[in-house]
Amino acid sequence: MTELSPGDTPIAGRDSDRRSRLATLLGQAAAGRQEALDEIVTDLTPMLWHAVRSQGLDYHTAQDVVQTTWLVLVRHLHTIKTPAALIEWLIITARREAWRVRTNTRREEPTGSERLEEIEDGGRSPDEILLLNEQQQALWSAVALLSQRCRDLLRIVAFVHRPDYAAVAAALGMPRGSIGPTRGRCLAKLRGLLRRDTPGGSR
Amino acid sequence: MTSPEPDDAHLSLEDALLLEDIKRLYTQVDPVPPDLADRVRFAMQVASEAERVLRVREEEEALAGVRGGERSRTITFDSVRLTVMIDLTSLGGGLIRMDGWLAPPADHVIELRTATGTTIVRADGQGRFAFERVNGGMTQLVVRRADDPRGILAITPSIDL
Repeated sequence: MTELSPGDTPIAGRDSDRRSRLATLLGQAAAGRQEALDEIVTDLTPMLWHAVRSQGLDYHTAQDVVQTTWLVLVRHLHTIKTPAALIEWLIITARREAWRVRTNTRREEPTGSERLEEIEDGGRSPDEILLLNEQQQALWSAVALLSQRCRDLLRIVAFVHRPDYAAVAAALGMPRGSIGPTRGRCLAKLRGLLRRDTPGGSR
Repeated sequence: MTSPEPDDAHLSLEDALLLEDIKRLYTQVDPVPPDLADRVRFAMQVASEAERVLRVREEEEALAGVRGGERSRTITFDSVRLTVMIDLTSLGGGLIRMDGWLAPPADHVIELRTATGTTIVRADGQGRFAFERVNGGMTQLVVRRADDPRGILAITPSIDL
């Protein structure tokens, strides 16, 4: 699969190498090589973690959901042929698992407000925010002002390689062909918020 | 689904850098738990043979008993057809006692996997089972039918005892 076009930045070359490596690993994993599957887990667990945490699950529940998603994948591996299909499947499954857990939890703990806050802030602690430098604090505040849709998209997209952006968008239910414009709009909005925040204007 | 979108090729350097900043930000604010991938890999070793994956449904922690704050934890794993509930009691010195119940009750074989080895017990007719002394650490339960010990009926995710 060639997915690069002229005019790409040099970062794209590395992305394409990683992409073909993931395709190779996927083939080997489907043929039963445990080590290949282990490497895929190393590569894609960060993406999956952020896909699940953006759903507002607490630290421990999010880990259970990430783990369950990988365990369920093992039995579906033979149906997944490309890295893009893998990424889409992982995100969709993880979000569905997260939704399921949240529905269960809500039923068992009917204390509304507390739960809602947890979902909105994604579990960050004030200590962690204090560790950020000034530029990151500004970025953090700006990201918080984005729509949930933009925030989820950018958070997950940041952890995959460029050829897989379309798979992320598909997993989030964005129509085909909309990822570029949507991502562009989200990034443009973010940049606008950053400029408003810093009088000197960064980026 | 898998074909590239033409507009995706045109990620400006500016956009690419901003995405890198976002990645760094989230890596710092909400880092992936350091042992998560290890736990996934450990649990996955038996996943290909498993008919089903049990979900962690609830976890409760309580200070039980009157004898000097003995800690106890209850975890429920379930799927549509099988529920496994375990009760964990600390015995001190890093050792734990695990009492479990299967629902619906069945005399299945329960395997307790840890990083250092595997212990097997058989549930009684009421679905009760126990591991009397378990070392703390990464652990996973594997449920097999007594009459078909090679197939795996269900696995749990790995948990930290």
